[in-house]
Amino acid sequence: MPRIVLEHVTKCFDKFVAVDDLNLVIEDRDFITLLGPSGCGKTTTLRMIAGLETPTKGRITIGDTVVFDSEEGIDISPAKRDIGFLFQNYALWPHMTVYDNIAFGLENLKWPKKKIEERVKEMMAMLKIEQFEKRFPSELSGGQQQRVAIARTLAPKPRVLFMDEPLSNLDAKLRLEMRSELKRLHVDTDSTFVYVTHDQLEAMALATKICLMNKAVLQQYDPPLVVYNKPVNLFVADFVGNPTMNFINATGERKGFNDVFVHMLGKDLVFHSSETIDGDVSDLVIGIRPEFVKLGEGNFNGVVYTTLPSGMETTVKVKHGEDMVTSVVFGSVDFSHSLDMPFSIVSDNIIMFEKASGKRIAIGSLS
Amino acid sequence: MADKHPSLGIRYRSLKGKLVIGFFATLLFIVVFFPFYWIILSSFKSFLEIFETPPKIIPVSINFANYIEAFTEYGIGTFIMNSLFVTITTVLVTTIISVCASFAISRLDFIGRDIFRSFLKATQMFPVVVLLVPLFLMCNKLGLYGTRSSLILPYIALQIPVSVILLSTYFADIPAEMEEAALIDGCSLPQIFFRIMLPLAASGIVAVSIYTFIQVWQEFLIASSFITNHDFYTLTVGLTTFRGEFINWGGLMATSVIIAIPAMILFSISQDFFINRLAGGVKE
Repeated sequence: MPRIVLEHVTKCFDKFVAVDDLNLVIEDRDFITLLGPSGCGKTTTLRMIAGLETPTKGRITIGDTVVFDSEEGIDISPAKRDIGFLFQNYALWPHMTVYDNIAFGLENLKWPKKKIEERVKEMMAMLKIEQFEKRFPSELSGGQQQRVAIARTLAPKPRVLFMDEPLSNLDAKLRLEMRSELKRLHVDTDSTFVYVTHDQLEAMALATKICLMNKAVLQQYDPPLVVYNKPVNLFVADFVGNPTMNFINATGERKGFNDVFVHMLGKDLVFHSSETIDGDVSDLVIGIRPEFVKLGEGNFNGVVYTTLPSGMETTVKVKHGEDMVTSVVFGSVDFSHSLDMPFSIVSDNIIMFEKASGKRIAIGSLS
Repeated sequence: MADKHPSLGIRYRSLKGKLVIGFFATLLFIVVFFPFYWIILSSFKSFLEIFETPPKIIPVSINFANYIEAFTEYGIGTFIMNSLFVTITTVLVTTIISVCASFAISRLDFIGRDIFRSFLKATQMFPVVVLLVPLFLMCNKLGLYGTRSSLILPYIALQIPVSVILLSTYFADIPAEMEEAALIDGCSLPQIFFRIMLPLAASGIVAVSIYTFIQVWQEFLIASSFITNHDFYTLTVGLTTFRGEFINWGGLMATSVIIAIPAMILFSISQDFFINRLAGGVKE
């Protein structure tokens, strides 16, 4: 079964580097999301694996087949890579009925007519679009078109399925619904999914592993919760999580292998990690997830700046001197502005970044 | 006297405003429409009625004599066949060549594509009159002067650049994903062209070929310069035969109506096609 390997893959458009020396291994049956801000190279990466874009340099292997190698001059056409591709705008052929759209790829594969009919019926049942068999794409709603597109892509039983922001044209409610269906389809179809999105929540919810990119460079490639809890640098920490992590400037002084004296928010604290702390600790950024900021009591004295209730949880911004600290409180609360609000920082997952390089140097607790 | 809608800022016109606009619109309509009306009216009048003063603006009786005479005396049946032959051949050849060419310049990447595109535009800078003499010399050298080929070949050459320019915009408007999806589904380039791109550009192809048809159908300059044999006259040239010692206005008008009919029919059909009915695969 296929395992996708990218080695030193680089893509330049004239002088602009879209993807820079990317090395990536996608294991069989993974659900990978390529995540990053727009223009980070995630779509280009996807299109290169699919064969719609030719890399400038590097080597791509799907399963046992080398599908692209710049040195040996190998470039296998997308049709022969045994893949499916779901486009952002669905790309259904408007002059064909739903049935014909789904059957098209199978006809090209020269399947016998009876088998095609069986497979198309099966796909339509799977995606609950049987009643639209004879309709044209323009007669369907966005969500229905999406389902047809998925059916068309899955019909030839591709080993790998690529998706380029497939849910971004749907409304919020439908997007949530399709999200869970896609995850279910991944289990049911037993194939590898590679999914491009700029929505970190979508990436978190769907992926078995997130590949986070920025400015053509791979930042972190880990399971979602690892990316969330152990971001390798400030960019990753900032990009993943909503509301975003609190970043508080601090100065530090080494106390021992595992401990650092930290001066932040006007207080002298001790940062303790279970592992040895390497790197320069004089100038630091301390990263604290909003859920680690407990309001109501503690030795920090802040003032409520704004309260943003969203029903199940409430985001509270507290001003502490020059710094702004965000906290997430479960349930609905509504603090009045300028209320004095003491808070504490409670967690073993506080992250210490080196200020100059932005790299994570330790994970631990503050006391 | 224009009141503004309080919230939308839409201007509502007063009755007086509407009347003024209506008056000028009617005037414009009469100016544009009257010549056509006059042609149709005269084509049904007898020889004497045409010279009546004051002329009758409302027809008293409908008289087909002019039409019958145009066919029997002047042989416009032959002219119709000539026009149809020349026009249909030109449209078919032009359409086939321009569809392929416009697909290539809008969807494929090849060396010299941009130069080719600018070259096409450059061909549009010369009026036909300027080309008349060189075309005449070429036809003469090839021994085509006076044949129907001497019309068809220049027509094709003159129509292709316009067709390609118009059609390539239709092809360029088709999203690249339509092609890529077909590529992944195992289509070769010819299959993509025939099974995806052609049907998607169908409305554009029909619109452009109708445009070509009308252009060629009404062409007079080349037809009158290169055709000398009465048997090969096209309809537009055929009109000149009504000008003898005296002008047979009735026959001339009847033939004019006959020339206008296909253009009018095609124009009304093509309106539907200009509105791209196949567009809109995605709501964006």
